[in-house]
Amino acid sequence: MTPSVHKTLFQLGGISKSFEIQCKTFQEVCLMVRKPALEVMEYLKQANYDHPTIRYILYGRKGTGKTLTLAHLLHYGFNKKWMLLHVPWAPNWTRRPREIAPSISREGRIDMPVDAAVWLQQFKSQNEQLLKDLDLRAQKSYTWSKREVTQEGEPLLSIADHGINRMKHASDCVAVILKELREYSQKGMFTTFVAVDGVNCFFRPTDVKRENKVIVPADEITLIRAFKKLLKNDWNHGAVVVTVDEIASPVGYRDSHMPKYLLGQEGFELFEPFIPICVENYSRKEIESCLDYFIDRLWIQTEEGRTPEGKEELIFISGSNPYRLMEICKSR
Amino acid sequence: MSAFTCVLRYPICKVFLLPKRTEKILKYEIFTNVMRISLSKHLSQTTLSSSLEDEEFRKLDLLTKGRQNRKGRQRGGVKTEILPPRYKRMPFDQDWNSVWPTAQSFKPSTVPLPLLQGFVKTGAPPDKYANTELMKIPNFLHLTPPTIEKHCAALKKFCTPWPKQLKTDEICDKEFPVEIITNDYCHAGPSIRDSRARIVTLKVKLSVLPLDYHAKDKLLRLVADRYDPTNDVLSITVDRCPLRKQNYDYACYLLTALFYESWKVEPWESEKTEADMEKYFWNGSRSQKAIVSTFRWMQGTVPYEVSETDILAQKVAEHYGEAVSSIYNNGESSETLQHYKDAACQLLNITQEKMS
Repeated sequence: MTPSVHKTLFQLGGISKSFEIQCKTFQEVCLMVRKPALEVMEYLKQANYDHPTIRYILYGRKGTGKTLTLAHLLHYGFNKKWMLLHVPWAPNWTRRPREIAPSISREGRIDMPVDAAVWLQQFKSQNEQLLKDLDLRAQKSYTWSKREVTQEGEPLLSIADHGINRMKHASDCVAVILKELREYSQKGMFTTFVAVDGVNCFFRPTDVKRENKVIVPADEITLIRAFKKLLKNDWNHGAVVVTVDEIASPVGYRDSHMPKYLLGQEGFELFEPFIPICVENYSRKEIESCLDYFIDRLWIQTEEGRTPEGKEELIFISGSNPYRLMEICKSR
Repeated sequence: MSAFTCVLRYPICKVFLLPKRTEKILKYEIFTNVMRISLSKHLSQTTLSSSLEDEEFRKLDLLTKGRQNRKGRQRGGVKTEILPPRYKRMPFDQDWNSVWPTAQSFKPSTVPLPLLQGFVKTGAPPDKYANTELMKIPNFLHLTPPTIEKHCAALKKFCTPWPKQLKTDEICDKEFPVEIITNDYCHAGPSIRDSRARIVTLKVKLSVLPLDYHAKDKLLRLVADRYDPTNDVLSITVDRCPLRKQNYDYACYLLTALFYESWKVEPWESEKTEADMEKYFWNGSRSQKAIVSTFRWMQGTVPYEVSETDILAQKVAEHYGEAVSSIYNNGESSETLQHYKDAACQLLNITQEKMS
């Protein structure tokens, strides 16, 4: 992946921190081509986009590579010039929102101005070229306040800019943009690629509290509500790829890594029918090529590490888990 | 050492053990006991230097040989012979029942087994002589199989013959499906009564009872954990009445009441919600509606004839329904998820490739 593409896609999130640091050390961003990603790409090619959007759920144990598979698919979508709607790590919105404000447009809902603005920036950076080429216009006029109005026919980019500048309205801008893009997709102008990492936090209690210390359910948060509408399959010309992660759930709901358990009843019914794709630990071939890459990058420095026995030892200690392998090679 | 070892049994007798060269062992004239420890000889007759037999009296030597050997006489008096313990004089094929006719506490000299019982931190487990553990615990040496055979033979004249038609267990289960279990207790004390004797357990297999789906579900809910799904047995234990007969009648009443109640359909049962359901039913669920709407949309764009799509739709929908039900009812696992994946791919017109 070239640095410019990497910057465009993942500047504001999408790849785990440790991997980012590793990429900086190696001075290149390299993702291993693995079976789950290839499988999804195959299905994306086969899918008929006149039919309702197909949802793909990536699931697997901790550290097996779901987020990076998602990143790979995002890159694929980028190359195919699809509209990317990417939520880098959904629990950021449910657990550590940077700021909470009661919603202006609807009573009882909660807005997250800073998070929404950050997302708009990411949206712009990921889709700038495409938006310019397509020159999408708003189909309705939206009144933000007495003085601020977006007229019908104004470009969508202006709505994004408005949201970034006026953070108070950012969440609503996000909702508007998503709605508009959905309608455009249905007309068939372009394909939309929705990617959410850790989507299971949308269906569980959040850590967000109102002023009176009452916990806000996920449905009351504007951003989450807007994205949930996209996750349904009542629109077409789109593809939805999400990951469900144990870590994304609150502490009491982490018993299993299976999708139905993590999504809960509500989430499972929302996603039906979906295609579950398991992301597993490295296979023999994969882990050997990963170790060869580390050796090539001079990451494994000791002589013993480069011998076959050393490699076997590393494979055994990490249990073929990609994350653990990365951590172990970091420390040694 | 030599082929057999000798053990000093009596403190007075002196036995010289000669080194390997000679195989003979010198015996003293007065009394020596040469015993061979191997078990086969344990029960057989021991060799005495003098030709003593069990039935004859021992000779009491007064002023004869003892006087002659005064010089060599030991201090503390001449000890009388101690007979060997009984187990050494037992033949193989004796009647054990006459040796141990009733329950008795353990007698080491009578039991011919080389038992060791107990734990000593350093050393071997203690043997049977003066072993309080062996004496304390109850033994069943009075109930060996030959003894029980004798008991059965004695009781036989009071019994009626087993019905000829009840040849196998299956026929017995079929003819007598209900099993009643009661316990009897005996006390050797001021009162022979035991209150535990009133407890009655009734066991029956549910496959024997004519129950439809609703009746069985209702019965299982009423009965809770008295039902064992592994062997399909309902066990009702009753102990609320003071007499066994009363408890037995109550248990039979319970079974009857359960059966008839489970067949009744109460008006409030129609208020059963999704949370009360015993398992997941795909027909009529929200999942089915979602699938049907998805499929109809997809159908609308594919130019099939109506009849074809109906058959296809049904098959695909059923396959999907099965997959979802198995996830809900049997839990998630790699197999159920793979099944679901196949069904979903079929529904969404995606062919899965088997990639290496």
